[in-house]
Amino acid sequence: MENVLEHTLADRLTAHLASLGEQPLAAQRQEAAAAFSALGLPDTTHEDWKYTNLTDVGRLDPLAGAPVIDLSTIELGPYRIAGLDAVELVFVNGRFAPSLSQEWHTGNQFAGSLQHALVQIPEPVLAHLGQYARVCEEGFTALNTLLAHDGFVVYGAKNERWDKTVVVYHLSTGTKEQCWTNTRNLVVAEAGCDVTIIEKYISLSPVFDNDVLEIAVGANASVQHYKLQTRYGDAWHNGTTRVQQERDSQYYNATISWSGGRVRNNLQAAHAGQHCETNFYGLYLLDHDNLIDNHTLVDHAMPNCYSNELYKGIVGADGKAVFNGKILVRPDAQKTNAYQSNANILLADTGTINAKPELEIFADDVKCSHGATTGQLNQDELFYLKARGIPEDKARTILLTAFAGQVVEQVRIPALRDDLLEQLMKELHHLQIEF
Amino acid sequence: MSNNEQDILSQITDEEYKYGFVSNIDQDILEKGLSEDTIRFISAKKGEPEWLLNWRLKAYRHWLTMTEPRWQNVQYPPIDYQAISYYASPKEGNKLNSLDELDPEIKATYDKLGIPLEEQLLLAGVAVDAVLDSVSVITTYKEKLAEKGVIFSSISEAVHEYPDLVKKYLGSVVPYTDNYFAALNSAVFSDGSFVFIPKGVRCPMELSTYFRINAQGTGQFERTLIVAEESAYVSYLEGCTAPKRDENQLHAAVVELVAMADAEIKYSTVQNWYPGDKDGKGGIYNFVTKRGVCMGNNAKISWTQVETGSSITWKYPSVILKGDNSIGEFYSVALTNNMQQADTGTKMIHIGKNTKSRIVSKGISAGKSQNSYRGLVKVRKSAAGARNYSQCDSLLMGDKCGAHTFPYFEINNNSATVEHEATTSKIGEDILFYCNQRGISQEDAVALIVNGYAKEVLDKLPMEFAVEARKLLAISLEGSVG
Repeated sequence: MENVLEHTLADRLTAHLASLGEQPLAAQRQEAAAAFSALGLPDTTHEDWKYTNLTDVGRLDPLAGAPVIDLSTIELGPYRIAGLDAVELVFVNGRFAPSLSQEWHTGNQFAGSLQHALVQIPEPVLAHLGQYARVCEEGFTALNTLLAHDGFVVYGAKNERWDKTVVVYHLSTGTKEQCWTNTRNLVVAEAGCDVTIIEKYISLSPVFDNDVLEIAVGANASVQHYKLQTRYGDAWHNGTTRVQQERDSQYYNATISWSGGRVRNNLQAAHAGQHCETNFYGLYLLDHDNLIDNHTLVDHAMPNCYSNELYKGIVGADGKAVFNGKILVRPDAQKTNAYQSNANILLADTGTINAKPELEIFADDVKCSHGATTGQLNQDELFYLKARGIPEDKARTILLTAFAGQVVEQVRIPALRDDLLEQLMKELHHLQIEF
Repeated sequence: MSNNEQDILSQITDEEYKYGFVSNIDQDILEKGLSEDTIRFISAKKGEPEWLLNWRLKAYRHWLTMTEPRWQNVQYPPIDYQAISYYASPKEGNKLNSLDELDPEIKATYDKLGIPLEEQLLLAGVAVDAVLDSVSVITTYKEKLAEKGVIFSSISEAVHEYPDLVKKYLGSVVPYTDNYFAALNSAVFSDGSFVFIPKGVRCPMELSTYFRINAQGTGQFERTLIVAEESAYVSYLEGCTAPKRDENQLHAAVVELVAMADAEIKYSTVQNWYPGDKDGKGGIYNFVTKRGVCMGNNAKISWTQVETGSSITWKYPSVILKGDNSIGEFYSVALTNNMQQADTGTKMIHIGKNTKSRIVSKGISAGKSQNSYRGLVKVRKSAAGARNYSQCDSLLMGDKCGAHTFPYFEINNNSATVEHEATTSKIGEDILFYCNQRGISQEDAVALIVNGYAKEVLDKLPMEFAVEARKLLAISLEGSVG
């Protein structure tokens, strides 16, 4: 039955493709259509999707897209981070909202929409787009390549240092019939470039976001990337981030998810040169019927690289968290240092944690380790605080703040860190009441 | 350095697989192929009751509906199940009453393996059940064990003598529907060991089975069933060897353990099937299903394994912690060299309250081998206060080998505490330098370090086995250092 449905979908996608006519991405989209008809959407028999059931998503029609929204009704104020000097880009349901954004284009720096970038800086865009997130890897990536209308592009030429932080707001809102968005994003930091990007995901009503972001980090370049899903309501999110690092480059990622949603993040970084550094930080807080599924991979393909990963989660009643972190050290990637740590606290006995920290190692002169823990709040620590006259609920908040704070502390932008800490306190309070 | 270690090291240089001989025993070998007739033949040959034949046939029919799993991290060409002979036994399958009646060739075989079949080796204090190809050859110390009420016999004898017990427990832990190889085993299993420890009895000696594949073109499918009644204790050892051959032979065994309240079962394996030659030709496919269940409160099951042989090892000795306060343990050293592949680990299923499990896995990969740890810790909602600690370390020796860790954690109870740690590294150059500096040669130093690395697991083995296991580790690493 399902096959028949997917088959008709594939046919409709091919028809959709034909209707687009000649355009710069036609060849990629053609390839994506073929890949999707071969792959379809994954289900729980797929090892990578074992713990995340996509039956609900399977019922949605990707071609229906999402409704066009009247931009004058949107108020960005509540989502802004105070005290941050930023270039703001706003996408509503995968479409660029020029009236809410300030596009940035100097000679060597560009921050704006993909459609504009294809006109203004076609060379770097076409050189990198579709190179790292391959359509043959997964049905979702193929669908995104096929259907995405727009997305953000940040480009820094050689040795450009960005003074401003690029903040991208992804707002999405759907209706019962139209609730599928695709956003296709690209970051290119050429050799020696230094750029910071904050992505904020905000959903106003139930919707399914299927996003792909490719990041090319040139030699000696540094990219700091924050992905915040901190006001995510009742939405579904599938985000694929593929990072390619050249020699001596640095990539930093912090993925922070709370306040609802069913979220799947696929974060992968691959090393194409020596002496790369990769840092992944993650924090997830959830309860109710929410689901947060983080899949990460650091692909050590070259010698002398370093990676570090820390993911922490707090799961309340009926929440389900999935963590699947993988360190892959390919043959000849000698002198690799790779560390991974995942810690979880279960607040209620109706919460679920599925963790799978993997190591796949094909080189011998390496130092790799991973650790994973799941538990509750330490009773001794609670007792210690209570013995000093701190009431139970406050003591719990102190301990949970300390636990989650370890990740928030890693945020390198002071204004953002303060903002997140404040939200974290509210969020913990909320989880505690639930508890 | 002690003399013992000197011995180990001197053997490093001049030994290969020393159990690779073939015994020239008259054997009955069933024609190759698998059908319902094969199963009827095996069953008839053993004079089995109707219920067992029907159970086998049900398993076979279920097996036909299954497909061979492909998710494992090992590679091998497809197995032709029709090209295997499912039954081989030494001729004159009459029951033996004393050792004198044993075919001298068989006795010589086990002598070469260094197994104390002889009663005069009383000091060794080990009761042995020896399984050659498909049938159990002889069981020693039967009378002495019978005094205590302990039943230790081949499973085919047990079917006749204790049908109620066998019927009750056979397939109760690993049902024939469990997986592809368990279904195949249930259909064609030829023999194995049966152990029953009655209530309150502490088994006075270590029980042991030696498995030996001798005939060519055969598969070995044995089944071990151990039942410990309330407050009983037993320690059980198994050892395995096979001749050198260019073909791959399939070994698909099933081991079931049942521990009632307050009972303890300790199961140790030293697995040294023929690993194939340097180019990966030949060797045993060791696809085994091992599972124990702690039925009652405070029960304990402990698996210890030293895996050095087999071209492919693929098994996950598991414990289902059903009784409250029950304990599951898994200690493993898996060593792969040359072209060997291993995908091994454990499953700990916490169901009862305050259940505890501990996993210590040490992988050593050398040559061009691939060594994977794959484990599942599952804490059900009912398992309040469950506790798990897992540690899996990998040691890499050489730049062509691989070490992989795939731990799964599925936690559904907030009072559970689960901890996992894993490290991968090679032998530190500083440690080697320290040894070299003190006049210990490179090769000696490596053997020393590997034994130290695996010590935590080796210490869990009964003493006689620990010595053997240490030697095995050193031998299997021969030629990989440099």
